[in-house]
Amino acid sequence: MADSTVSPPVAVRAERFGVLRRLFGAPLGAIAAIVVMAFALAAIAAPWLAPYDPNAIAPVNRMQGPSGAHWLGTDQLGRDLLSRIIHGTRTALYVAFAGTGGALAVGMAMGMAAGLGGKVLDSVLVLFNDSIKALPLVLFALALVTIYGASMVTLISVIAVSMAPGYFRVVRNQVMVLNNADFIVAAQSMGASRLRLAVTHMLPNLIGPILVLIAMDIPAVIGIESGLSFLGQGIQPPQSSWGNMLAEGYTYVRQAPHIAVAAGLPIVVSTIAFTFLGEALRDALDPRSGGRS
Amino acid sequence: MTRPLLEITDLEVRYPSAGYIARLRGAPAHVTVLPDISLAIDTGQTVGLIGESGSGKTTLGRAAMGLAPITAGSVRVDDITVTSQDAPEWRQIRLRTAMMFQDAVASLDPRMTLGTSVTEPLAIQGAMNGRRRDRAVELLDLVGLTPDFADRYPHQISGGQARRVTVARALALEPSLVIADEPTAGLDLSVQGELLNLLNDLQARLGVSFLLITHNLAVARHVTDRIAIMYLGRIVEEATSEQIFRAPAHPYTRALIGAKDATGGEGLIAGDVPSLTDRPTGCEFRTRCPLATDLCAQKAPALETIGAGHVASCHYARPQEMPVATPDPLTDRSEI
Repeated sequence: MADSTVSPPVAVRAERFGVLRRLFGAPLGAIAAIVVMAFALAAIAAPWLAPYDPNAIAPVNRMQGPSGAHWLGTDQLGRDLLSRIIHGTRTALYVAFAGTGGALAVGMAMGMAAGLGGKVLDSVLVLFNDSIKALPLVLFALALVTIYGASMVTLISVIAVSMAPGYFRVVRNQVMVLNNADFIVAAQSMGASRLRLAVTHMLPNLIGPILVLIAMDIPAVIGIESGLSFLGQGIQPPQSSWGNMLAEGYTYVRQAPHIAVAAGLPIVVSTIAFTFLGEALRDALDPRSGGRS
Repeated sequence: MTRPLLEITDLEVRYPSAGYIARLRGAPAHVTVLPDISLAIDTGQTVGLIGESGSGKTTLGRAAMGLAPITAGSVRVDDITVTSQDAPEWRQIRLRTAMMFQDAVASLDPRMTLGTSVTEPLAIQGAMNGRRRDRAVELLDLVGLTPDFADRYPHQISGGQARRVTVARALALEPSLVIADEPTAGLDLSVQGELLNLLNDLQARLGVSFLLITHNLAVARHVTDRIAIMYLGRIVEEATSEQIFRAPAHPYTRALIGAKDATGGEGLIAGDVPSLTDRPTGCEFRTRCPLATDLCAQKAPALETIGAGHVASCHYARPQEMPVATPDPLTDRSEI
């Protein structure tokens, strides 16, 4: 009796921040998190951080190499590359978050419905998602661009639709596992409605795996945005995007290789940083990876 | 005579089994876990449900809360009767009954604080009066836990503490019936004793009825008023606890009491439990029964009254005094 009323020396506060602590405890995770935060800051504060107007044309300064005035040099129209890259970060992250956000919302709603609804609904949704997954992404994207025209909205829609099946699958499987979990059955035995089960019990227990999936998906989405923009089917000039900058740099790669390098570098760095962040997050969220009693 | 609080009448629980492919190959479409079972619990009474693993005792407990597919028969609590799993009346029944699960830690949401978990029945049934945290502290106090437990998570507490939390949660709505599935599983003897005393104490104070599902005969003996012995989804003997332990009638009961622990770990009952999809003809216990004869293979025995409030289903059932009183490990601490 006595021992059960004495509070054990468990630091509740420390536990709550355990995930962050473990994330920053791993060197790769910490570096990746800092790089990602730097990109995020650049995207948010782009108008204040960028030294020049990204679209200000100055033919006099065209294709200059890095200098004190233009740290990364200028492109074929004399625009400041650093400013364009900072604004390109904004474009990339905007597309990445809107795209994955849309995919998450659609995939999660379908996954919940499949996991909590009947067998027929589940079969229909699985068939639907598998069909979408079977479509080659570029073909699907080009078809949509042909119909609706190349724009940011089309791009985000393409990403949301093609990424949704991934979230659908994870959410559906997780819900099916949770369906038989004791604490879910316990909530049912108290008279909880399906909506309540989904919102108060399933959702909080789904966040871990979904967060990891998001972090892993973002580099893929950045790749899709850059790729389609490179092909001229994504973000349209003059709006800066890493992809269309890379395409322009590619045209002048003999005269001014610094343009292609400046545009390619953030694609590589951000992709690697998000991937490592995803992996570190997965390890940090896994209770079996230590740190918990 | 007043009506019992809970009355389960001719209940059948069948689970759909296997997929389409296996069924095409001739696998049965259903597994009948409870073929036909009846049980009653009076107000303020504790009834023990005892049997080996797979005897259907947990399923019966779940069916009584609408958590298993009911294919025939009915469950009545107070004046509410239901005959199917998806009946809307379950909501009213769940307002008056509560369930404690076998794995206490797993029955608490890992992402919820204990304070939130404990008061969840109140939130679900819209019965929260006062601040949620105050109610949580009150409930935790009822089972002897300090207020700081309200802010902890399930993985930060011990098995015994988790068990207490589930007791507090079960009592949140002041139910008239609590179904407790193996409430002492995984607890060491001293904590088991504490928990049983707590349940006894709460029953005396709040007048709750308990359906206690267990394979631990010592636990059943310690707290139950009546005991029902289950085998392959049927009740084979039911009597007061005193009668069951003093003069068990069914050979299965006698074997269980001899074995002390219904897990059969000590090997006093020969053979394995038959498959639910391939039940023996006649008496289902005959494959393991020392008294089995040709009659048992041909004719299934019915539950018959063999004494005051004592029923058993066996052609050869007669109350038989146990030769030696088995020591009760919960009261007899001399061996520890």
